[in-house]
Amino acid sequence: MKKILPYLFVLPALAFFMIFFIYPNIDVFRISLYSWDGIGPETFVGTANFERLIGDSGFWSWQLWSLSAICGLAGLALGILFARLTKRGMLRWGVLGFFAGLLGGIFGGGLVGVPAGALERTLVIGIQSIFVQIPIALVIALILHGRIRGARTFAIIAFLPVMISLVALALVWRYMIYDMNVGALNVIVRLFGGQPINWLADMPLLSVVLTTNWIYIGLYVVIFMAALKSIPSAIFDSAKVDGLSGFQTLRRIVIPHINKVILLTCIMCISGTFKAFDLLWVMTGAEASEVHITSTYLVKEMMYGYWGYACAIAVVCFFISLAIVAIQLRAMKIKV
Amino acid sequence: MEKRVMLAAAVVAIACIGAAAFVFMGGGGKPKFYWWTPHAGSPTHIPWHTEVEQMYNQRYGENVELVKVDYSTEDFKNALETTMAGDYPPDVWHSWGGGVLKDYVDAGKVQDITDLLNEDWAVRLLPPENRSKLLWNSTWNGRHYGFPYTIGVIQIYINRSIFDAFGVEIPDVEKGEVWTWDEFMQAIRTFKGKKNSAGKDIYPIVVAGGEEWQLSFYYMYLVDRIGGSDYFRKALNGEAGYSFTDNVFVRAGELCQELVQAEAFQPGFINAGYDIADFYFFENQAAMYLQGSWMVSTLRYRMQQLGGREFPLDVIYFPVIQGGAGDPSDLLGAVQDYLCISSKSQHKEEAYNLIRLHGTDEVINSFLQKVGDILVFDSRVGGGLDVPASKYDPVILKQIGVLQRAANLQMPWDQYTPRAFALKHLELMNRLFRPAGGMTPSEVALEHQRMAERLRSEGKLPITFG
Repeated sequence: MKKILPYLFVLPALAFFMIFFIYPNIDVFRISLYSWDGIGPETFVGTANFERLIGDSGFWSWQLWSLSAICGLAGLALGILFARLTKRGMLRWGVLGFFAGLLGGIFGGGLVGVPAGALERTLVIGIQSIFVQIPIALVIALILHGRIRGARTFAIIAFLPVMISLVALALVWRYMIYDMNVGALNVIVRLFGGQPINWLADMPLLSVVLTTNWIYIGLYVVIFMAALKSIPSAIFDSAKVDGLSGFQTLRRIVIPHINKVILLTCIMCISGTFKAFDLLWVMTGAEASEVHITSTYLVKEMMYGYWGYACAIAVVCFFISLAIVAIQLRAMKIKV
Repeated sequence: MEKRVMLAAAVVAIACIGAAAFVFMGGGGKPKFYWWTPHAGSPTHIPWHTEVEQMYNQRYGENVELVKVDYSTEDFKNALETTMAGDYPPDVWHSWGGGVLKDYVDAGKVQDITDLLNEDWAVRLLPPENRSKLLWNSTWNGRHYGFPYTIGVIQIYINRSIFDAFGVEIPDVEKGEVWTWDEFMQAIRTFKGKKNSAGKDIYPIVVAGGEEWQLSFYYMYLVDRIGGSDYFRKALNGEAGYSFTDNVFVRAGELCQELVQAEAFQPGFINAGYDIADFYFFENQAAMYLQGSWMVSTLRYRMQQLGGREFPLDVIYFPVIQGGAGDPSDLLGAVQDYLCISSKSQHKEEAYNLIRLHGTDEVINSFLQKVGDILVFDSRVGGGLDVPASKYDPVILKQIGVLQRAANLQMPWDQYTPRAFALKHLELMNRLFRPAGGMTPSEVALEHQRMAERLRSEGKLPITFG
């Protein structure tokens, strides 16, 4: 009885998890093989939904990926060259160069106006969050780690947006910050003599990115503050004694010590973007396709009555996200 | 001791689960059946619906309880679709008819209520000889799937005092007068930049761009004015010689963008909800407002709340396009406010009683008093009931006259068409009207055509009624 009892106590939670998480996720894979409008009967279509996805320019842009592939190959070549010249690991630097080129191609291509799909937009938002949220959060965490007065209070304030409902935050930003007539940003613009900007209509992606960065920087500040506490303070004292500058301390001491945490936050940035939905949907209405990321795109397809196709998108995004996480986990074993 | 604690914990856990299950299953008491409406926040519909709910429970509530649930429009559509997909829809629900209802009918989710509508009380309200005109958008294969209540008419409402203050002559609908597009644009230029007596900005037109169906009103009317009343239906159904890429649709888009470039709408219109548009119009800050007749009762209610303030409301025709094929008397609108019953409902007889209750003089009079929209049962519009003119707002009465003279009543596209087209159309309206970063009229037309072709390949078009 004693052996069975713990399992009995776990059973309700496990049943809940199976019913509301495991079963629906498995069913997504099944429905992706069907054509279903959400109300009528399902019709088995095999891989037709995935075949349609290949040609869907709203989901992904072959032009952008072609450009990125070229940039990736260029990055690979440059990485190998660099490794040869500096006598470092060719494989390591080649791979780094390839991915840097690939991501640079997506980012740069989008900036110069190469048409982008929902997938590219998702990756761009995820990548920019790595280069914006993480460095800013790390700098703030380092400042707060310096035992300044009110550090804990500031950390709590910075973390508050993470605790508030994303829908509530989206509505606040939509009506109080970005609103053309009464929004705080346009009040500032008017103060400097400018014309009010319709942020959500004219720059929807930038608006979403600004809001997302504001929300999640606090999360990473708290994560990095905890990680910094794991570094013995004696090392910082030694660094001071040895006359290392702040940047040298960051590069030679802090980053090597917390590199796994940094890589973990990078994973969180990418996987979080694939899961993001409510903020973008509530703030912009996601009516315009240039704002769609993968989650809002598949919900739109579902609303059109293409549930099987929406599930196919979800399946593909699952494997893409899994691949990115796998690459990052593999990178954690590489000495940086 | 440890055994006793574990035993006590197990008993408490089982008791909690049992209590939760009991509550979840209805907690005892009378069985409930559910009536969903999309009128959350409406100061006129809510009191009327609540009164009907109470009346129902008093008369029929011995063995069952009616529970009314009010949603906002978009939440209602999403919730209904979700529950339809999950096969647990409400027993009775509101519908606008058209292609969206047809999707549910084709899936076998909607109860055929033809026999109910052949009862004496229903025949009195909806004479069979006029049902082809009144119930076409809820009838398939000769069977009826909804009980209608109103006819919504979409026209340009105006603030007479603003027109008078700036010397803009009002075209009289009762005389059939209608502006040309140039006269309309001239009026917009006249109103632009002006201030009202309180010193607040006046906007030539207010629109709730955040509700894409309001933007769609302009596009739909323009297609009608340019191409005639049948052009859209023929293009949708892929009839030879008709396509969404035709100049009719491109030109309609161009004229919509002309309005945007002329800054005819209030700043930030593309994201405005209709409470914002209502606010500006009700506060004498807008000269014109292209909206549905359901707005009138809300306006009068607000004026009552403000101490019985008078509002100089009037209505005009949508302008004509020179050289266009459309009849100037064509209107946008449709029979709507249908009550539909789920085919899966376990309370069909109760649902029928709710519909029968809606057909009583008591409920009809309450509707006219509290809501006051155009009643579909009114003999003036083809119904069987003689409704005294005094029951209507003067502007609504004027619109009934306009409706009687209308050559054609075009159902809004986002209700007429299958769901996928409706959604794509509304999305495209947002892209068309964006001041920056939107789509060209040709691109909008092409996307309409692509969606129509996709639906034709899936057998969802052509769409037929009746």
